[in-house]
Amino acid sequence: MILHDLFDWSNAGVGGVGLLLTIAAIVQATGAKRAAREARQAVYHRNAADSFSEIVRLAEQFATWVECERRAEAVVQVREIVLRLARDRGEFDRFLASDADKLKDVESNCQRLADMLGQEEFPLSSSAKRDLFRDTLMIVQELSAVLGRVRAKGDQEE
Amino acid sequence: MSEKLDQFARDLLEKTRANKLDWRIMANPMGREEFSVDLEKEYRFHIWLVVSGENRAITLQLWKDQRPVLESVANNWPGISNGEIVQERVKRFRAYSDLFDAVRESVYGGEETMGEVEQLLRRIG
Repeated sequence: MILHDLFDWSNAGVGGVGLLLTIAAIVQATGAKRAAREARQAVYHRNAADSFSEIVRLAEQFATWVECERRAEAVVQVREIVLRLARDRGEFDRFLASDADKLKDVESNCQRLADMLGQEEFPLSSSAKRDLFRDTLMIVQELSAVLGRVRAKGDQEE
Repeated sequence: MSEKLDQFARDLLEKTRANKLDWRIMANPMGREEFSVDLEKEYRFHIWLVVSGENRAITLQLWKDQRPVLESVANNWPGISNGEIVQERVKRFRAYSDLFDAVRESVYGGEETMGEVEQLLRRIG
């Protein structure tokens, strides 16, 4: 009788320890999963920031070629921006939120300038030049603002 | 390259935009676009643009007593130093190009002139 009780108690004890270990393992696994998700998210943010930083660099170079009135170099640079924007907008779409639409506008502005510079000589009239300088500056400003927001969002979530 | 002429270029731009200088076109057998303006005491500025494909060079020259005394050229090749574009040269070209545009506009008239001519031609039918 006493032996039977001892068996019951030890079985219950083993069961309880097993349950505790299982709970501990689940908690640990959940934490590890969250840590992995956060690390993945951080890498994603970093990649987005790096990609947009590169696009801003291209846009600044484009602005320099425009200021130097070098049409051929400006066309190559602005076409590169159009291609990069299309790719990165697709890749980081869920992270960009309302900036995705803004980038779409910037992309179509870049496309318009690429078409214009691709077909014509560098504009000679000062008013056409002023328009081109204004549009180019606007593109650099918009892209820099998006980059700033992407970085701020990444910092907030880290 | 003359820093003094760079400073003069900025002053000339300001005065040209304010219509305070009477620039005139120069007949030029070399096919370049050239303008000049007379100041008092026999001083005169010349500015001209040479275009060759994508390359543009703008020369500003100061004359005294019928001969050139100072000359400065800005071209649109920005130059690279340590993999970076030399922004100083870009700024300099912009200053000269803006001056040249302002001079050309003051001689030929800007958008207003073009608009007026368009209207006149339309009226002729």
